[in-house]
Amino acid sequence: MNPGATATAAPVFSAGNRDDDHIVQETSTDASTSRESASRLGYINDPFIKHFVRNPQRRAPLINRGTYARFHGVQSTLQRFASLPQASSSKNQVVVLGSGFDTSYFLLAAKNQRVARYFEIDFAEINAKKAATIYRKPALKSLLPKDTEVKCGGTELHSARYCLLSADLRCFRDQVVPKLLAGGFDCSAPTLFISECVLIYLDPKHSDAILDWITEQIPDAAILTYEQILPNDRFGRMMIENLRSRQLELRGLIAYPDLESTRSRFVSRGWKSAFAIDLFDYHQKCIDQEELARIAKIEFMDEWEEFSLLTKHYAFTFACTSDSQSSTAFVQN
Amino acid sequence: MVQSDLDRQIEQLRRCEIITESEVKELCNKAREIFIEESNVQRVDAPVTICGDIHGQFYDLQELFTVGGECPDTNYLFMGDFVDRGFYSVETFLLLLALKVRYPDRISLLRGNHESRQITQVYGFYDQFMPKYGSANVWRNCCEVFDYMSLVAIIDDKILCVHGGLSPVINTVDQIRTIDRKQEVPHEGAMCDLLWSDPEDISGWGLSPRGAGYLFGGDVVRSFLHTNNLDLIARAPQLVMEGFKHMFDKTCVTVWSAPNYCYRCGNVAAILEFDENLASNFKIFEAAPQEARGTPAKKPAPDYFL
Repeated sequence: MNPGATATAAPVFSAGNRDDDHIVQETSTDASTSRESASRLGYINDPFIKHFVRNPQRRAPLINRGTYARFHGVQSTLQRFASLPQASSSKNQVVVLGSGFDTSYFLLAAKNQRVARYFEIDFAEINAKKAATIYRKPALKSLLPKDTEVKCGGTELHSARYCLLSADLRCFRDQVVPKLLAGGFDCSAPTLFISECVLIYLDPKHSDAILDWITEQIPDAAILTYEQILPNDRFGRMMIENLRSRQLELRGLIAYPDLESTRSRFVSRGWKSAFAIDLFDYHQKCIDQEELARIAKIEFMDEWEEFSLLTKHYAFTFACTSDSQSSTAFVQN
Repeated sequence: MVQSDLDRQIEQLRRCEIITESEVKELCNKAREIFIEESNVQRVDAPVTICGDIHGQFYDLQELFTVGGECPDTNYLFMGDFVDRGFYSVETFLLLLALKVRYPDRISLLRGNHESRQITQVYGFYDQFMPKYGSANVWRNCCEVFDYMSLVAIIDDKILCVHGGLSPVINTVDQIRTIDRKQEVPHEGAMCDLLWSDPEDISGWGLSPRGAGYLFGGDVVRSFLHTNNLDLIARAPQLVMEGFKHMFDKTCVTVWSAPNYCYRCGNVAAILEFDENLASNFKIFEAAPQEARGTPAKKPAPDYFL
């Protein structure tokens, strides 16, 4: 029996205000719709995302290109981590915080770049949909480990190598940690945490609690976050206003408003190193010229000024609790 | 077309209400007859107020008219990009077209790079016809009008107005006059460059990141102005947060007239007034307040990465 089965008998639905939480959960649909658009047009190659998108939409070229850069940053980090040369790599773990309809597990599995353990954590409402979709689509189901079991009323998937876990990130120590440990999470193993536009919705006291647990418990951890920055200029103020009209509150944005504060946030909480870059610079400096030339041919990009404005309001932050996963490695791909 | 019908259509469009398919067809035919008579290089007399991109932001165009004065009281020159991106591209274009037909000597409309079949199918104008007219027939009529719009305007022989900028294959205004403009915007060549190029702090010419047109430097502008005995190039298509931007010792100016562009960028907008002595004055305006915009049935929020 998979040890995860003993963690919680009942599915964990969100503990906060249900309406607000539902709206945050909707952002998973937003993200997967953007990713499906970028994939269908040929910016990125994600053969799995279409299964998670019910109403495909064609996004504007600047959104497609930004989605490309975001995807590039996350996937290249994951692939580098999955192919780390050191001996301990047989124990490597990935934890995706607020995984939504992310397909990264399937992308790695399809390339046979499996890590020892892969955990995805989100609300039960999202995970129920995700698990059901995975089981309905042979292309996804065939990539699940053979020992995968459906648990907690269809809101979790458990196996030795891959776990989809339902928990509220605001209750990290009480809900998430026990589930991770029950699922075989090894605090001594090199671990990569990924969080795309998730921590920013949490009150900083909740997201700081997650980061503090990682520094306390995991000697060799790295985290890649992708979040909004710059709330105080005109574009930033409009972004907050527009998201607020959708009842989306970026709770972490005021506490950590720019590249320097997102970087120093980690260092001041005991992480060994941290590096932050905005999405515009990432697009300009970290993507091969041939790749940029290739995607430039997909659509006319008549929105450079807006692209630069938009992408300067998003940042990748890469931080490590040890010297073994150097944070500068993030941009050397 | 009976004048009173046209006035009624203008009133209707000013309320952001569409006119019927047959009215659009007739309006497009009339507009085309007017544009056919205009040269590639439209002559405009000061005083005139020049405007940059509108991009379907209908209620912000209303704001523009409030700030700049109504047509025909104010003589307007719009430098293209009436459509795409904003929610009301159809209403915006038809209103400007109706004003052109009604007051042909008080409003000039230049073609922008978005006044194109290919671009409007990517950036939203095309998609707005289905819900409003039940078919794309009227989109075709509008695109036929695009093909006849002038490429540049010259105010009092001194100020060249163009949507994008200069072209390496164009040295003189007379060369612009020889372009066969009555076609879809080509992917390269003089006509494409006029609609796609951007000024940049370089010397000479550079490759444009847009994938069409070129980047041109201050030396290129100086030499073009000198050759053609002009003082200034006014152009539109780059978002500037302050609404306008001078470059190259004020020999080139960008005018941007879409406030809070795409309901997302938070920028102010500008129009540029020239009096009868060509003295210039920028008027800055902000986006129309939310309540003035009415509530479209289902207004999608602008996209972010979530």
